[in-house]
Amino acid sequence: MNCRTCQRELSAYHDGEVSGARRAEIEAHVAGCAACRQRLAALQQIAAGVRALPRLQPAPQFVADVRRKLRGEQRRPWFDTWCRPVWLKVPLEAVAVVLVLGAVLVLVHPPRRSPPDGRGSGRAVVKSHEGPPRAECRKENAFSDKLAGAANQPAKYSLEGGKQLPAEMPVAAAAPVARPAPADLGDQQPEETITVVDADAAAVRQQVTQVAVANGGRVLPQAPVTPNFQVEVPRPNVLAFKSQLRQVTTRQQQMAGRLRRADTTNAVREADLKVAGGSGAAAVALDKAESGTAVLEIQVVPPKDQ
Amino acid sequence: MERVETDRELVARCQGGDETAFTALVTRHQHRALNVAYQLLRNHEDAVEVAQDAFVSIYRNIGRFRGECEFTTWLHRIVVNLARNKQRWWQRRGRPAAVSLDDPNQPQFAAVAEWPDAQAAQAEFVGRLHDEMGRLPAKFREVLVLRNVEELSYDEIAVALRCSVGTVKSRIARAREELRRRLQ
Repeated sequence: MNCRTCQRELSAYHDGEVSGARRAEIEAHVAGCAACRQRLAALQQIAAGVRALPRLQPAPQFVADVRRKLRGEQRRPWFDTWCRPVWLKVPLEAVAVVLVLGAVLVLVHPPRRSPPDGRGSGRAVVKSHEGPPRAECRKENAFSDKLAGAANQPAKYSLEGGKQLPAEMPVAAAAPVARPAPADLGDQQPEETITVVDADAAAVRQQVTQVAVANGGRVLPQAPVTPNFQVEVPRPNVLAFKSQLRQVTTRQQQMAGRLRRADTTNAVREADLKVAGGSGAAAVALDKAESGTAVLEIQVVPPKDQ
Repeated sequence: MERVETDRELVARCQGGDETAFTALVTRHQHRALNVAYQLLRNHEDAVEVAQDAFVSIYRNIGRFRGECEFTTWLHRIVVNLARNKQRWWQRRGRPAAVSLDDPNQPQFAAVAEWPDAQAAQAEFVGRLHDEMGRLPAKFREVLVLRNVEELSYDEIAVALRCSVGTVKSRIARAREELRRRLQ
């Protein structure tokens, strides 16, 4: 046995944890090795020193204090019961409170279900775009679906008409979206889209042209000619253009006696006023950029009941 | 002469709901629990709290004690675990895990100057050893206390610390070597 092996075993040897032949080997080596004897003596001194470390005397009330703690454990205050350990119970309780509140809200205000005929989506779109739901709009499922699918498209205003020219132009307001500055061609990205529900696209085009020219604008040339066309109007006159378009159609609507319900007109006017009053995003955008011209797209859609 | 009940007998009575048996266990082992906790934590208040909490834990879990080890081994395991928790608690709050040399409640060494030279030297050595023990890593301090203060065997230490006998042997040797090096 060499010194290194011996010194590795000395601690266990000192504690009596080495037995048999190994113990005899260590004893033989230590007897003939001064360095290992010295190391063993140091270990004995340390062990004796640890045994001699000062001891604490328990206080006389130690047992009584343990009893008191036990009674306290059996009658834990509500805070300890519900909040300890804080890191675990507080987050769990917070989650539980949120879940309970959510369940209560769902029970008190159940979510509105779509009607079984599938018209719910159209109504939802109209409502989400600040416009009050209209009877005409509800009937125009295709139009509503188009709105739903065109959330990022330019704003659309539904101008619904009968067989006459733009007699009825109620607005199912969709959220207007500002677009980049228009160019001179009729195939540019329009800033807004106004949908006119009418069978006679040529008549609608004529009516819109008159209003546009009256406001310093024009109908952009377009080839091939389609039912849809674009109108360029000076930005300061955009609101006036739309307002006059609404007034003309409302007047003709009243004269023609085509109002389906009295509240329909009110709804149209409210929606129009919202647009004309600049409460929508497009109005805000237009207010910010009053110079230049704006391109509006007129979309002519034949009525479904035709 | 009245026969002294063994720990196992007291535990059995305690498991049967005998409160006096539990009181007897606390009375018998309070000194042991308190000193192990103090040697590990080096703080009087923390040691008292840990020792008392250990007995509270024993009372709550006495039904689960199957007697597979000595009651004292079980007690040591609980005290060591609670002391580790307390050390971690202090470490998270920025206080050193051990070494509270300014603790006014720490045991005082006798007036060394009045002792004969040999005793004075021994007292001085023990004082330095006491300080250096506080600076040892906790895992070294645990095995040294259980071995040289509580005089547990390597097997008992292994059970108390839930590690192998080889680990215990290695840690004790390294702890003593570390102390020897520091005290040279």
